[in-house]
Amino acid sequence: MDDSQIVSLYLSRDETAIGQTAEKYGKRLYTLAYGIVADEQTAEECENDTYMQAWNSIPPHEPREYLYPFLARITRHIALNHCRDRERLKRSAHICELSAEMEQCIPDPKTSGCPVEDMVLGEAINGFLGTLDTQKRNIFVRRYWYMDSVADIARRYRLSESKVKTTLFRCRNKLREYLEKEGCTL
Amino acid sequence: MNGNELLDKMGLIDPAFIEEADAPQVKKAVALKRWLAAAACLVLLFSLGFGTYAYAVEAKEYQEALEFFEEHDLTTENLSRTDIKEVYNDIATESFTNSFSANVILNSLTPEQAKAYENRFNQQPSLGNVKEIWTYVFKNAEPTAGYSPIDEDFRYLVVDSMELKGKKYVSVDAIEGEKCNYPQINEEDISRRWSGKHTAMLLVEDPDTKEWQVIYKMPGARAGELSNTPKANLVWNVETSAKIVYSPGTSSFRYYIVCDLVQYTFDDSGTLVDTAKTSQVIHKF
Repeated sequence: MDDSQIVSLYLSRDETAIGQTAEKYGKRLYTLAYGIVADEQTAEECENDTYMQAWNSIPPHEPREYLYPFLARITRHIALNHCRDRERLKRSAHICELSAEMEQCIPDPKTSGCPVEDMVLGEAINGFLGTLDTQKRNIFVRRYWYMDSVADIARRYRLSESKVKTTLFRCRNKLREYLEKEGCTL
Repeated sequence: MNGNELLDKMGLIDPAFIEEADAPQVKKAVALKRWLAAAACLVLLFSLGFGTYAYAVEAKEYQEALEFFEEHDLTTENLSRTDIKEVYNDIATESFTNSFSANVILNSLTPEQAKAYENRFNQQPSLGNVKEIWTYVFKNAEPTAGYSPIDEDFRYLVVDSMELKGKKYVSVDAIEGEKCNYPQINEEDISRRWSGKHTAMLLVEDPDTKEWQVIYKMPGARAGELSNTPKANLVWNVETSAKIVYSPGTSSFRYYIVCDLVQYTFDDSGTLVDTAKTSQVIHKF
């Protein structure tokens, strides 16, 4: 069943929508959640919570053209919250590591303008990603959206870990420069 | 905003980028490239190996051809490397289908040889009788009627025997290198082996002295069976060694000798009246 038909089921409040979603995207959503929470049971919870939240979000949303990213965004958000709420030491360390890396992207408030809204920030981030070549953009997204480890990214793209680290470092610097140039204060 | 919050804001990344980053990696393309590279290497190695082998075979053929030309005092003048090999194959198999072969034979004739041929056959050497010239001048075959002495440095193996018009004939393989008491040849000694240096010999028993005399001999050939024509002329089969083929294509790496089966026909007086190449015989070693 294609995404548009699944979304139609949601819109018509047909509960088979959840079954169809699980059949088509369940494994990917579970993998995404497991990559963040590193716990099978919690990952399953995240997956199921995703279906629940999707049920509640469609309508008003109607993600016919981007159903997977829509669901994955929900899963990511839920998984991050699980991590923080339960304060699992190992994953917290992972989140802390990622947060520390993100700190490097935040422009100096003295050189930037006023704080920006989510929409503006989203446009800036996407604008920045649009300036990167495909591989660098994918590495950045895998690291800070999917929260993959450097080793996993290196394996996925058949690169050395040092190459991935270097790419990420340069991307973070470029993002900071880009946000500064766009006048974004975070 | 701190890093933790910015990490959350990464959730604002465009769905297209998220899909793009989650697309499965095209492993097949990489695998295909590797296979292609491996295949290219194999092809290169095979080509090199085959090229080397082909070069070696060609060099061996050329060397054989040169030795053949030298052995028979044939001229290589105005012949390319390829021509030399082709003429060698043509003459050695006695096909005489290559246009260069006749010229090579005629140009290689010494004045003495040409004169001797003219005296014997009452005609001048020409393109039309190249086969005769080759047989009687360069191969030193003896088409003469009558008898000639036996060389006792040979071992004689009787291949076949026959009685025709009151005369006894034997077809004999003479193998160089072993002495043999010639008069002891008998029919029980018939053997069909191919080894050593052969000379095919046709012998007839002298009705008066009961001694065997040579009618005809062919150096480098193997004697075959005897038979007769409807007109009661004697037919003698001879296998002439035409070509040695080394075949690495077989599992046993064998050598083959491809022989022409030639029938010589003699009249009552022992004179050669006809020669005909009938087929080919292959001996495997």
